[in-house]
Amino acid sequence: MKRYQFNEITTMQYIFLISGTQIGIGILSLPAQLADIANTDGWIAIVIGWIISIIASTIIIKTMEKHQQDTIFDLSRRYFGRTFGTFIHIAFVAYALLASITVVFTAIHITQVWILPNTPNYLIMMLFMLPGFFITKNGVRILGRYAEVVFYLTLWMPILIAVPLQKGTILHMLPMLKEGWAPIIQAVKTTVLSFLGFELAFVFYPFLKEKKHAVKAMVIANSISALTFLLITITCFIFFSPDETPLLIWPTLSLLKTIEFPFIERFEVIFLSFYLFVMSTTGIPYIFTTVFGISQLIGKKDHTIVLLVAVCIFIFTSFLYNPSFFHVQTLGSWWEKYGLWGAYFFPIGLFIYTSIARWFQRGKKK
Amino acid sequence: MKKCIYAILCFFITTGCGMKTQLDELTLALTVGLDEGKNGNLLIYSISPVFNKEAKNIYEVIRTVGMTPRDGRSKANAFASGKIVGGKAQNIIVSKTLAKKHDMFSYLDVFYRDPKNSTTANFIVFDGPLKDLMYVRLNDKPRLSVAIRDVILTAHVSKQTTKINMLDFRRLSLDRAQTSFAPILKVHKGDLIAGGIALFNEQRKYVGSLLQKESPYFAILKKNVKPATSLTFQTKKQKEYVSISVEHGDFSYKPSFRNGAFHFDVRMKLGVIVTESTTYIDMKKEKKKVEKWLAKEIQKQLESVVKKIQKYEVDPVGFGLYARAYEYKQFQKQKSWPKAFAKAKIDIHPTVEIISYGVLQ
Repeated sequence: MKRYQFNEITTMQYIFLISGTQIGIGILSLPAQLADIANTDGWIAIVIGWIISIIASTIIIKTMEKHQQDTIFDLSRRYFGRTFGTFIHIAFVAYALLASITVVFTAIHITQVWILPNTPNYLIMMLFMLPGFFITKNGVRILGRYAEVVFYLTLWMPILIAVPLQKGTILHMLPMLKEGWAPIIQAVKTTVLSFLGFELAFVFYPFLKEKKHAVKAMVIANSISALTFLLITITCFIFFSPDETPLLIWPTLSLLKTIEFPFIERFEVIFLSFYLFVMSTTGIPYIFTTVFGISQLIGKKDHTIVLLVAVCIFIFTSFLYNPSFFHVQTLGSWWEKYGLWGAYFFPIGLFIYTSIARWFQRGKKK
Repeated sequence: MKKCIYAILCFFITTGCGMKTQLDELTLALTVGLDEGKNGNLLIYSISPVFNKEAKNIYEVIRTVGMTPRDGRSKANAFASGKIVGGKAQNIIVSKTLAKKHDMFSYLDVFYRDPKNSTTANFIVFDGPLKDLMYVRLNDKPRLSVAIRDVILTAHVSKQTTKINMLDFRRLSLDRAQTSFAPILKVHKGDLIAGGIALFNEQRKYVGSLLQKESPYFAILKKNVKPATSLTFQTKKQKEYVSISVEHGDFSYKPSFRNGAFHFDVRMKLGVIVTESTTYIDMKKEKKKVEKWLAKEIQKQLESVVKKIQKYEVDPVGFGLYARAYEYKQFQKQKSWPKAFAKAKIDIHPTVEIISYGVLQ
């Protein structure tokens, strides 16, 4: 029996949904963080992070495979019993909530700094929440379609990012392995976190139509993200000197400031306005996971009411609270700490636990 | 009900309209000038176009005294005809006296920190007090801001000076392996003249300049020969000249570290076209000889340019990039690259190939 028959998504949509979640706000500051730790060798850390994230996401799929109709919320109760299962359920919802709060507030902060300095943050929040509400309300299928549309809509953006390449010099990248492997290994901690987003496979896997392509889809999704990260990071390294990149907060956006056409100036404003689409594909899946998890927790099948309450809370909060840049950074670091556990250690633990549990059950039957 | 909701939603789209600004209510600072005033104060000039049919002048110059550029802008708002906006700046000009005394970054910070400011504005050093430039009357030229930009651009294309925008200036200054430079602008008998290159040291202070006639060689060292770098040489016989235009070049910079100093082996192959010759040269017979002679002349000039920048302890060419890329360990040991560069030994070996000598024999 299929529980989510009316909400199934194709493999393509699944890929774009996952990679859309991965590419979000992190990419705007990633080159600076990498340059700070590993100088211009930081890109090697991305490749290593890419391999690790593929391993982690394969483990997630292998765990979910045994019960194809279960999301993480069902799975936790199936294996851990009522009390402990609910605890994991709540922990995962809390994680998704933290992620969505971080993404939404960071997006608002960036919009205010770069595009709309005079617009109050609650108005921007309302504008963000409107499409967020309509997409989340209609469930995973619409989410998948939206992610796909956004992917095609934003295909032109990487090409533009590569424009400053011709002004830079490849000499910045040499020599490779300047200081040996130690700083690169250190930087891997940053890069694995920029791949956060694949852990939502815990929620979206049951909606996938063709389960046999699941691992392949995860690999492709991670590769799309890795390619994007590599392109942007290497462009930043080639364009800015290794001494300058760590001094910028959002090197990706500073990079765009250099693009100049005879007919248009401050190109980053247009780019960033489009980039809001990309950021929305990060925020909306997390909002969906939060709302979906809460409604399952209280035993409601339809998540519209929970969503409505959540959106109202979001808007209400933005009336009272406008986070400073410092707060946004703190939120981000919390998410990263939590994410390291939620997306890397938790799946591995879960995989081992479920394998042992199943092995014991099989033993009993015999 | 649903229609009603959509109608209400439409109003959200208009949220931006409350904060609109009208173009003719703004004072768009197209050129910003910084100069040192009396008692060490900062003089800030801004040139903005006037969009008013009744105004006699097509642009207005505002002069204020302040601590910093942003401070000056706030003060200038008191008597500008509209709110001053810096996002459209085309030129940022500093006077030589100011550049000599102060770290440029402390004055330029606002242009980088505030994302609303454009970082693609040209950075220019002005030789002389800035008021000479600001109140110059050019009757045969467009608005002053446009004229300045055009003069710099034209001079840059013909390699009489160079061009650098604000962002590149910052990029080069912050890179430990190179130092920045800027074009020089002068006013001579009521005319704008761009020529020569101002050199900045690691502390972003003006230390010296390259002359206008050295600029093309600087361009060659920077591998920037296209489109056509024109050079003129005097032959051994007095008052005879040969002009060539360098069309393309292959460059190789090989760094090495020997006996406590960096060595650079610079090789370049230049393809040139002979564009003018006041004396008769038998090109068929003497091609090899002429090529050798040209190479030697170019080498002499390039070496003198390199000596000059070594004397000032600056590295605008970016030799440090090669040193860092190929001699990383030694490069990292240097406390200050420009100081190490001043001691470096640089061998330049240009070879010249005459591609064509025009339509005359």
